Amino acid sequence: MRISEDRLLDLLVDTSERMAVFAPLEEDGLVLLSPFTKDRAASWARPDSYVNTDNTPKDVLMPQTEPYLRFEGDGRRMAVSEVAVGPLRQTFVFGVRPCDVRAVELLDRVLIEGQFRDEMYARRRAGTLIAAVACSKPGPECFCGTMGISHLGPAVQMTETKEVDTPSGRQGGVSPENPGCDLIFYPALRGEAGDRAGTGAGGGCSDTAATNTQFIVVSITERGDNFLRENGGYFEASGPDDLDATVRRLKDTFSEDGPSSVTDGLSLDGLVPYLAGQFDNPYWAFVSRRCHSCGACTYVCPTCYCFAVVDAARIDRGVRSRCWDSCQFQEFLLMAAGHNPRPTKKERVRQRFLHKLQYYPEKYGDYMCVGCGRCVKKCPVGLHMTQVIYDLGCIREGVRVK
Amino acid sequence: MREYTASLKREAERLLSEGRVKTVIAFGPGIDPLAPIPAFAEDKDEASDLLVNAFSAPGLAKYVLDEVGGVEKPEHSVAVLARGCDSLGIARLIADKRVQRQSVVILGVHCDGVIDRGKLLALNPAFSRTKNIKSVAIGEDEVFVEAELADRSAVSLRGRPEDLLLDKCLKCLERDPVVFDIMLEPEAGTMLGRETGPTPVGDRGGVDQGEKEKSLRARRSLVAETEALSSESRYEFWARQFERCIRCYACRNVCPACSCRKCAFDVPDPEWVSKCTWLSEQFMFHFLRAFHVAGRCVGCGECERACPMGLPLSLLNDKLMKDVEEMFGIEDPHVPKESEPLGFYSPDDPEPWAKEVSEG
Amino acid sequence: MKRIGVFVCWCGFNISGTIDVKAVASALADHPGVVVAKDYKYMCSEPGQAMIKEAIAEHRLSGVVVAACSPSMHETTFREAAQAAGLNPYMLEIANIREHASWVHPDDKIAATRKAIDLVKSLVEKVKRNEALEPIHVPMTKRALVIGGGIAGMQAALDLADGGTEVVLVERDSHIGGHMAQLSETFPTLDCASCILTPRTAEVGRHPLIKLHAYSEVAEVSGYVGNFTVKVRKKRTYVDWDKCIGCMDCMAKCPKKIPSQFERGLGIRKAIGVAFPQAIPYRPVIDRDACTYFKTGKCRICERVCSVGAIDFDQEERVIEEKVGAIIVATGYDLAPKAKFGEYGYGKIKDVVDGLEFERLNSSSGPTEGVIKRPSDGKIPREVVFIQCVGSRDVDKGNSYCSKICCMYTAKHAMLYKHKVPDGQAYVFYMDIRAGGKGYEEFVQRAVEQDGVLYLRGRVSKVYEDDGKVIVRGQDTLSGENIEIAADMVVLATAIEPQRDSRNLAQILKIGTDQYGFFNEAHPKLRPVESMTRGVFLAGCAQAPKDIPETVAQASGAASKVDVLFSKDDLVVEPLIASVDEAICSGCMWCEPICPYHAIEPKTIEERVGKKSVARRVASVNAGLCQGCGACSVACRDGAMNLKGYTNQQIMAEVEALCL
Repeated sequence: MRISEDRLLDLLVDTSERMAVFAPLEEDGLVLLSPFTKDRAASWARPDSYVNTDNTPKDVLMPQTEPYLRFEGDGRRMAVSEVAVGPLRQTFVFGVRPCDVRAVELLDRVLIEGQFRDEMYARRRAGTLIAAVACSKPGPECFCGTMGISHLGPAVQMTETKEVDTPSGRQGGVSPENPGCDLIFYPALRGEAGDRAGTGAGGGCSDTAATNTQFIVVSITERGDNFLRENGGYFEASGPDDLDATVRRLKDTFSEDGPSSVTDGLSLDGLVPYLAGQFDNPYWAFVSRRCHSCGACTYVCPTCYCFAVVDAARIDRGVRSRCWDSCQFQEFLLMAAGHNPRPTKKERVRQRFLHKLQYYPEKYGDYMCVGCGRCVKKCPVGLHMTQVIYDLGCIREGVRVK
Repeated sequence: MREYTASLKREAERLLSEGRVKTVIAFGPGIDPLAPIPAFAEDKDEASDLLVNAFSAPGLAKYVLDEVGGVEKPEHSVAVLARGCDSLGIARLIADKRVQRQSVVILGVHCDGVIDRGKLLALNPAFSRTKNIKSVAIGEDEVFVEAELADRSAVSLRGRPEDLLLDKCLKCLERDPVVFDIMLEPEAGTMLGRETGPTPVGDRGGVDQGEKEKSLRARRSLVAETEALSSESRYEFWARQFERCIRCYACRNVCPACSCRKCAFDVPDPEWVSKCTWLSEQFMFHFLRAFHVAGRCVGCGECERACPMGLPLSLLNDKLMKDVEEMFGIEDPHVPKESEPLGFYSPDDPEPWAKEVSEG
Repeated sequence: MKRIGVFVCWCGFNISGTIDVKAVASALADHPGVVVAKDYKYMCSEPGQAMIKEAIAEHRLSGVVVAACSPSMHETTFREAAQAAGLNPYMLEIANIREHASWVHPDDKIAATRKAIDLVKSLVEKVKRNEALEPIHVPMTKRALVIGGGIAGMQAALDLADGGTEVVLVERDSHIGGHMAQLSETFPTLDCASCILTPRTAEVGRHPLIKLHAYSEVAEVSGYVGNFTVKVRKKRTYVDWDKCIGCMDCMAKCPKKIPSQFERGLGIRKAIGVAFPQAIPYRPVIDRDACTYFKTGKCRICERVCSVGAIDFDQEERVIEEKVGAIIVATGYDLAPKAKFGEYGYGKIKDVVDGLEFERLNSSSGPTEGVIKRPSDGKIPREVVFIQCVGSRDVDKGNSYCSKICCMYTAKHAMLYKHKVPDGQAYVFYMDIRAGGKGYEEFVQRAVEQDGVLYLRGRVSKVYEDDGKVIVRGQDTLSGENIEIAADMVVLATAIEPQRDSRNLAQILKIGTDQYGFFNEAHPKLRPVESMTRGVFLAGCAQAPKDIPETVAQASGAASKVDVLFSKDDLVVEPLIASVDEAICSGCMWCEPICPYHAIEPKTIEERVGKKSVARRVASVNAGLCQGCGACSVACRDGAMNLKGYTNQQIMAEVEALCL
């Protein structure tokens, strides 16, 4: 199937009447996955114009503040009622990058498939249709390849993916049972699918056709199939070779420039077993020294899911919410009696990286990092994933970390 | 920017070998040549890795608090590299009695501004493959960068300062440190990679009052723009900004004026600000933060640089700085002083309520 | 679990006339944590208090809120009741539903009731977070400082000293006695001022428990009630008073004559000497500005004639320190400056004098030896005009207040004049006569009826000199006629004003002044001799214009207040003071310069960090100095500083309850 930018806009407008729709929109120089409105500058229509959204699908599936209980007392008894009981609004998220699609799947493993099912997350996840948009160029901080994730998304029928060493051994990091999204949009160049764009968009002028982005669309879940069927009027059949041509072109453009400095020469080989013995490595004290203990890395990370339970209570009534929390905050593990198991930056920084590179892989089979590069870009002091992977490589080779 | 790395290494090695300091805080190479990282040298080898260049973005002042702050008698001293903004932050920590002056050796360095990696990459993504920086020149009206890429090819860019420097550097208030022990000397006549690079467009050098005036004007005009908005539009503007805030506290944690042992935002009772990100809480957080640094903000701009969500925090700080300047007649309100405008009791303080009582 | 009792007072109709007190009580009965809510006609009455006490016992209350009048009225009453019932008194709070609700919203009963309910809920939420507090005991120095040696200061000093309290008396002039020493006679008895004053000055001078620092000023006061440290600056007299025997040979031989300040410029004195013959201490002072030696470097006659070698031209100013536990401020008044009254020719026309000048002209020890002569030519004035309210009750001159004594002393002056010049005529221009006081009205009547003083109700519009006469133009508002009197002399009843430097002293003592510069009493009715700063008391005209008997009464009142303070073994301080959470305090000491009472200073604490002991600076609060104003608590960014009884938690709870 294929769709042009104009028709996609119509689709989003139409869908937003029935569902909550999120798409990448511009705001004060950022690109944010935001509630869709057609009046705001649309990044979603130009997937090549931005690397990724500054926020993550976590904002939709696990909002930073999510009230879930109301309580009210009369001084003797307390009445409790759930806030979010009942069906949530069906949600459509358009424009999730393949790395973030993978992140959703990693969150699913913990919050749905794990030992404890997080009903709030599961409910939102079940009601959310995710449409990925494949990448044609890596951003300066992108290292999805290093993490074994394809920039083309989890298209299971595309068997030809990069051979990488992932702890689970899954090629392309894709789990066939849960690909993490429902639809994949492949941006096409003019000439690939754009020749028919004019007609597809309802016969616009040639300028429109020239600037109109065309997408080849693939559904990889039943829910995706249903969506395409229900909205069939917006899509056109694509040519038999359109998909292959577009994918080939995306692969070529993606790798033509070579790796950026922050992703070059990173190796994950044997990292999980190696880290199992590095809890007391002096490196953690060394590297954490420059940490300011802010939560920027964790809050912009698509895979971090820690939260705190917060009561906003006044006298006899209140609301209990779940709010994001960060393992990098000093008070994260502070006990009521005053003990703090992770009192210094060393323990907290170590926790963050071992969680992503050792504990999660040991438990769930894959790294809890998708190479989206947000921490690389956002950490105010350059204490981020590729730096740490690089440093660990140096340590393993006996080279002094600078 | 002139080449100061050699002089930095020399002083660092000397201070460490003489035992005057235990640690020298400056920059190290990091994985990305366009983003040197804060580094802590404790021996000769580590000192030889230190550097400072036109890409050294992070402020270093706050590390002084981490290393030797908060105690009466630190076990040892540290040396810290300080540009104008860093020195203001250090002066702030000293004025707030969180760091003792004698426990820090300040290695002053002149700074013409730091190049914004993000802006550079947006103009030419090829720089993301930089192997090493060959040449940088920062002039009044033009910035020039040349780098060697991983494949040995060269790439260069010439642009206006506003398109290439960090926003905070465009509003720089002090290019030279306001307090220092040792002033680093540039290598005689050399620029970073000057021999191999093209002719630089000029080197600012020296203290330039005109430059400071320009920065102040820039700050004031931004404040004036916001002040001129109707209260509804202004509310809308700030609501949009604060709504975006993810409360990661990067702004607070990098701020040299935020040096409390236990921040009010982290105290559970009373809960001044909840973790809930409802708009009212967001306003509360940002106003409290701004008011807690009112009269003490040094204008270093680290909060804004650190913010992952692009909030214009300097604008809030500058508004309060302007008010302090105008209401209290304080000159150079960004420079820490013995006694701060909001920090003392005077019998002459206006007490309109007291007057009402006596007249009534 | 908190168990709160709520007690709603009707205050007769004061509250119940506007607020539905039953509704308040029943609304609170449903409030979380409230186990009993009652209302009663007069909660402050014995049965009302008994109701609270019984409820505390019966319901095992952990806190009490009394919804009644202002806490400044009955907080102590109810706290004592709570204490009697075994509850810590600081577990009781007052919700002020009278001044804050019923009185201010008399026209909207529903809204006033709703507001009252909100106020009480807010206090319930506060009291849930109250903690039991104990009064703080601070040792004190039972020694008093009296500032000012006029009749007020002397009376206070003598009362205290007679009661066995050591007194330090500081007098700015070289002698004690103040303005009263300048008076000739006093109303309404017309007895001689110095006859009644000098026994007092002499007694002060020789009292073993009074330490007199004459010619001295208070330079600095630090500390707090019970523990003041006072720096007294002893000005240079150039005479060693310890050596001096008071023979006054120096004064006799001194060749330099200057106008006498004591005589209001109407007489002369020497550059060295005492102001008047009965001066206490009877010790000379050299007027440096007038002394020939200091001007020319030559003379030193006094030094030559002094048989004991007491003259010391090189004398240095000394600052001595006194420790006292209480301070009485009795610094008196000044007369309104001449410059203010150009329209009355004051300061320009020699024969226009003020009341004190007229006192000196009347005084047998004055420059005219009691014969009333006009200053210009020494002639006996035949017609004298007295003008009242000069600068008093006059908004244009800045003083809207009444100087209180002028009506009486003008009557006295007119009477004395008539006694000495029976064929002369005295006119008095007045606005109205204020003669409230024992025997005062009769006194004024005597002036009119027996001595024939002519009272003219009206303002004087102009006073000017013409051919040796002082022409007074004015209006008699009773007859509506314009009046012009060619007088020989005019006496102005100029306003009593605070001492010019009263605000400066107020700052030193950290007490308040009103808009004119008179010191503020703590309460205009109930605490008239106390200042707002504990341990600092007021007496005499420094607080407000008053006559001698009132001044003496207030001085004795102040002295007895000091006696009450000193009657305890130590000082009991309210525990509602700032306290520091040392675990949180960053030691930034931002609070230190913000404290108006200098109650905060840094201290070093040792604490264990890991295995090491680390020294760290934190703020500490001096319980005696802290007045509980809360400035530090507001300034403290991390919330380490908290005001006991008004903690951040309590205030937030109150606000949240109000905003719910």
